[in-house]
Amino acid sequence: MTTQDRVREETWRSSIPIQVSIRAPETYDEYTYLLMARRNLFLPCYTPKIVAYFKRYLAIEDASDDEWWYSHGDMPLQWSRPVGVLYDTLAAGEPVWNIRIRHSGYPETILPISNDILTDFWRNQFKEACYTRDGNANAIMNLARDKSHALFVAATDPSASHRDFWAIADPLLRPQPLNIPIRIYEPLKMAPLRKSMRPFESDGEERSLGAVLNLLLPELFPSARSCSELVPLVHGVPIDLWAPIIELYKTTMCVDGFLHITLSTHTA
Amino acid sequence: MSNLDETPKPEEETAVKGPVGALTDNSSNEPASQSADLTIPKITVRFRPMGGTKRLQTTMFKVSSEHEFSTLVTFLRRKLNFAPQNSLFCYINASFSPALDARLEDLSQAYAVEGVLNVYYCATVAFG
Repeated sequence: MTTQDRVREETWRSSIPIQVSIRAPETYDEYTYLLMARRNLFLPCYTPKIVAYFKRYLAIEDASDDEWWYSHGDMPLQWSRPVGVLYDTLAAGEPVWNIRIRHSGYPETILPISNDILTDFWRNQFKEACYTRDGNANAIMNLARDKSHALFVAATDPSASHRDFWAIADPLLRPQPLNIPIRIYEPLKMAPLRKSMRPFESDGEERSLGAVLNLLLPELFPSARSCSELVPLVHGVPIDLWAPIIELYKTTMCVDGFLHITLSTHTA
Repeated sequence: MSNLDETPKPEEETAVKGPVGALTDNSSNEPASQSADLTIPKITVRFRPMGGTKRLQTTMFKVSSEHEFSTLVTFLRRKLNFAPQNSLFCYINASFSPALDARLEDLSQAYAVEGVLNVYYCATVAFG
């Protein structure tokens, strides 16, 4: 097994213990469900499993899995962000992350959800990432229908393995992409920075994470080498500033095709 | 969601040809936000129909870079008189639909061609 494969596997398996609570509509009794949620996945991927469990205890009308949403305290959770990013930005350090699942009053502040939307959302994010890398979305558009579907299943099924995903995703990555699709989450900011960044310097050297942060956020990262008060985390792991962005991307790319970097004030 | 409207006078824009409308906030009741508006950079968007979907009279617009992609979709739906039950699919550069909460500044920086963000729209799925 290569180092890249090992990191990909570790990244894939990295999980967060989550306690999901629900309140019975009439009795106000609390029910909870514990799960290990993969960092590299979206919360709605777990919804069918969670709802199936609660249905054993609660009279939940309508069997539809649509319109369920999650909150951390009173804050609705933006499901389009990977589980790990949500945890690192909202609950870093908590041994078990307590969240709530709800079925009424879907908030306007988060993207609408349905099973179709999850498919659409994932596919379009993956296409956007592909477009950023290559300047077109041909690599994903030219994928055979069955392979394309298998990639979606591997990306969104909690029980899929990293091999299922990378067997199809790896050949889509060119050795020298034009740009790396990046999302950066700053502390206390609601919206992430969505940027694309060339992975090579003008002299052909691999561009480092520090150089990328210095270019995108010069106030927070005044130089490519010096540490600021913020630690860049990828899948919850602090990353050295000298790490080449291209290697970081190819090993820790999220299932949506983006490299998600959380800037943390905590030192791990 | 802020109330968007096309101003009667097209804005002058040297970099682009043809009439350019403006998606601007109707915030005349709030002088503070109006003056702030002047300092917020704008991006240029061109709407392009596909698959027989109606063309807009004005296709180029200036819009505050702080808005999200959903603003463009809402605006377009209204311009086209689309009922809520009618689908409208929007694609950047005829390739992909960004997340509705993507900021226009980021989209423009990453995907604008010669300073114009091209949004293709269609009443049916064009790029599955």
